[in-house]
Amino acid sequence: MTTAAAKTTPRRKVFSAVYANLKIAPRPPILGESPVRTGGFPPKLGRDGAVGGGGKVFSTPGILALLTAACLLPVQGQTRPDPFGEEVVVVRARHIETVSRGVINDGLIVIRNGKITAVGTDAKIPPGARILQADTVMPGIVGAYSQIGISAPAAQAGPALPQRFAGRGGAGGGQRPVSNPHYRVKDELYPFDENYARLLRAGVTTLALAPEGRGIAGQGALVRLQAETAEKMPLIPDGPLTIHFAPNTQTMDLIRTTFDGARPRTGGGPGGGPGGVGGRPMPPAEAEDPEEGPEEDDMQGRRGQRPPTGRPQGPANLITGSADVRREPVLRAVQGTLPTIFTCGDSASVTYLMPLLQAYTTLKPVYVLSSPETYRIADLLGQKKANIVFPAALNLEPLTVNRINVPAILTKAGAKVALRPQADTPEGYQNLRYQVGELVKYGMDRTAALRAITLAPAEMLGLGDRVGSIDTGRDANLILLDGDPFVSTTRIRSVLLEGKTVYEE
Amino acid sequence: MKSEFPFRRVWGGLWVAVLVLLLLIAGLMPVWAQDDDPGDDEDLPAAPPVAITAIVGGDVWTVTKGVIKGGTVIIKGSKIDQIGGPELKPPPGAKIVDAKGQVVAPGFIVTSSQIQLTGLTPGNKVKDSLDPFALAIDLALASGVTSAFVTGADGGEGPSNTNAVIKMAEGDTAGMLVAEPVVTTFSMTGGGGRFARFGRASATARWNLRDQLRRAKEYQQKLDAYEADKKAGKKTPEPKKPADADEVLPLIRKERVLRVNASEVADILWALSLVDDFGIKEAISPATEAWMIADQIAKRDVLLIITARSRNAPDERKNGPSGSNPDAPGILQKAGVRFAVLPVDASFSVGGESGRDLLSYPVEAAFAMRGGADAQSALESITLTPAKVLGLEKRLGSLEVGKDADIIVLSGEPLDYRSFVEKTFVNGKLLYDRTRSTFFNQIQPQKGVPTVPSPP
Repeated sequence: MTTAAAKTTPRRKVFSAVYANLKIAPRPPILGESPVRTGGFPPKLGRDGAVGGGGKVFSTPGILALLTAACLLPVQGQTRPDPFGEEVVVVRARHIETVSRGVINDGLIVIRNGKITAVGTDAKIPPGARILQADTVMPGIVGAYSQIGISAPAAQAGPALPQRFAGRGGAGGGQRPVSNPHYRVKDELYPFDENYARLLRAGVTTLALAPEGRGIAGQGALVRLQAETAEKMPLIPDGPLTIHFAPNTQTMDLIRTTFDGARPRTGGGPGGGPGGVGGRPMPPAEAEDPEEGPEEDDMQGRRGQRPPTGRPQGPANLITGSADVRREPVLRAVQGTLPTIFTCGDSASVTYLMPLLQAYTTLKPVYVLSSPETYRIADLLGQKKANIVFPAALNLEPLTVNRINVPAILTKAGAKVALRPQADTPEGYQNLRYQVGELVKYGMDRTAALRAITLAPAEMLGLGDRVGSIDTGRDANLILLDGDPFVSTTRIRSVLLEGKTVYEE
Repeated sequence: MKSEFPFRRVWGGLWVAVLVLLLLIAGLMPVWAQDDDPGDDEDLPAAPPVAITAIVGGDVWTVTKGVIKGGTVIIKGSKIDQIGGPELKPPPGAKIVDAKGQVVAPGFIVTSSQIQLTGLTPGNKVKDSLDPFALAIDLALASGVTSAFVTGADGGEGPSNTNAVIKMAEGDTAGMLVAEPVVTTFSMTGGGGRFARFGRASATARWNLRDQLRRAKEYQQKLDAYEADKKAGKKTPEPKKPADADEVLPLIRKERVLRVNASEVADILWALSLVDDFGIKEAISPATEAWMIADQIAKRDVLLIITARSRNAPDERKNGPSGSNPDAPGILQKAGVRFAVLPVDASFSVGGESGRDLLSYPVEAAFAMRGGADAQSALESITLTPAKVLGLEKRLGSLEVGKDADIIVLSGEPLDYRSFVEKTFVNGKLLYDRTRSTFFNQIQPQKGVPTVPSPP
């Protein structure tokens, strides 16, 4: 017996070493535990049944509601919604996770023409409304950074450098960056991709699609996941400018010259430099005289350190695109009317990128990061209140078996965090809620966690007034659940996209 | 003409008056400025106080001035502020690091390494590609290495300036770069040219380098003459700079070291001839056969980078000695040649069995002692001499007032294989502490094994 006990001790020690550094958050309230959650509400009407539609009623409030509706019947003289009139949907739920205004218990959401017109406990059910029942309602998930259903254009892959010059890995390592700001994802959308139906089933209603590649890859698209045509998929005409950053001189020069070149020429200030994104796409070295002079000189005060191999070849750009078409998205990004997504392979990239972007005060950067070592620059990101998209998973502290909760650390430091699944697939999005739940278990604030898959990505990408929260005037993108969204026994009962039921269990 | 004199005098007086007035105004300016904005100073954030750290009680191995028993090293900001014996008391407010019974030494410097930190590509600068979070940095700090030379793969046969010296300033991209470029490299073993398979740079490459140096030297002489003329007031046309002069002019001006990759006697002799002809500063690596011509190397004050335990068999076809010699360090030292050492596999790693020699870098210096070198030059071979090879001896390589505070605290003597690096400071910041390290905190050194002798 004693030997057996002695054998188990080190095991326990290892376990505690693994989990010792994690702060365990108090368990979020689970269905039936909260004092506000009273027993029998709402009545279990027939699924999707309209009031008076003959659903079974089990509880007193349900009978009362039915009676109230019955009293109204003679006045209205009509029990079913008019199929040709304005469609009105009402969702009643025990818990409405509004995200923007906390949780509303025992409330109603009124939807007209795909928009939310009223939310609250005192909202009136309009006559003829289709009524949906749920335990919990949350906003549709907003995918913050994805490539599902799109492919990188052939020209996006830059010419490979000789193997012996290949730098360290990560985005752009070993290949020259490209400059295709005019490339648009929305020109190659396909609304009938079966992955989009799977995503809807996982509760994803909005997806930010961003082109892959190296350097300035092009404009992404913010799409709704069901539409009759490709033209109807984007929520807003322009998607975020996407830049894949790698810490090397070519990429940094490319960003600097392109951003400076896109600024309006009036005024003749430092912004009125050479046309960075002219009709003939410029290689990064083209603007070297005005831009690079001091840079080149700052090492020991000497010039001419450029290797004799000469300037690098121009990037493999798409041959289309006039000067204005190429300049416009960059200009809008620099002015801040278009958000800019920067992907970074490691933390070192961020330490180069953030100082580089300091000169562009109106730019709205969103950093797509994935390295576990991001926690080491949490203070830097927190000070700048940076927008970060991070995979929803616990990480190991490098070189150790200590688990770390990077999203929680970043949130605590003051950064704004959006979460995406580790795998950019429909299956990944199906598991997203549970992965986020695990982050909550290990110390991430639950409110911030829910926000991180709904309103946070929406706000980062300029859609905060459209999607991501349950509020008047927002698109009626809703997930109807039979319990707490992070609890693994919870099922999605139905998904609404702009008021329409696009998935029903 | 006569009528002008009084006129002039009047104007002259006026000028004096105006000047006096201007001076008065200038003198009053600060007073006005003070009156105008008394609140401005309050708005400015106070400059952060410079951090002062004092390492006390340890045996301070200065490298240049012997060992101070129980000495004190005071670090102010990123520089060494004061060094003294036990009588030197740390200033109030200083952070005290107790090194009692331990050894304080300058951080080790590696002259060549395959540390994977940078993406060196043509047109790419090291300073744009540093990774302050790389695993190699953690391991370097744990090994006592505070600075390393990084270089890009050689693109061709000519001289190359694609290199830099970086510091292991973990987490601080700006603090990592010491200088870029630091040396000019030229390889006589391979280099990717047509003659690479013979293990030699082509005769063309050699001739090209010599010619390039000749043109740069001629230009420099003409430039000196032109500037002397200019000072003397003579008007002479400015000399035209050759197109490829910039690459090698720092060599001619002795601002930079030419680092030649050569191992055989014939190649080393050719490299020495460059010193004779152009008066440049030179370092040769791996210089396997240098022991045969030690006096010639010493005469020209050329530095070497050797591997003290290299084993190169003699070439049977040669009529005379060749290959490596285990006694080479002793022979070189007796002749007065200064050398830095490098391990066989100059990199950091925790995976696999090879490629991790830098984890025990001081042992390479101990191998030099095995070969007959004394303790002082062995210690210098991983500190001061590498700094000289890189042309950075004014900043790195020893514990001296004004030098960079790259300091290590060891559990025992630096060249003892049992010594652990306990603490590592880079730019005055404590970046490694063994008691908090993932890899080494649970390991305890063994007692009772004979140690290597201390330097005199």
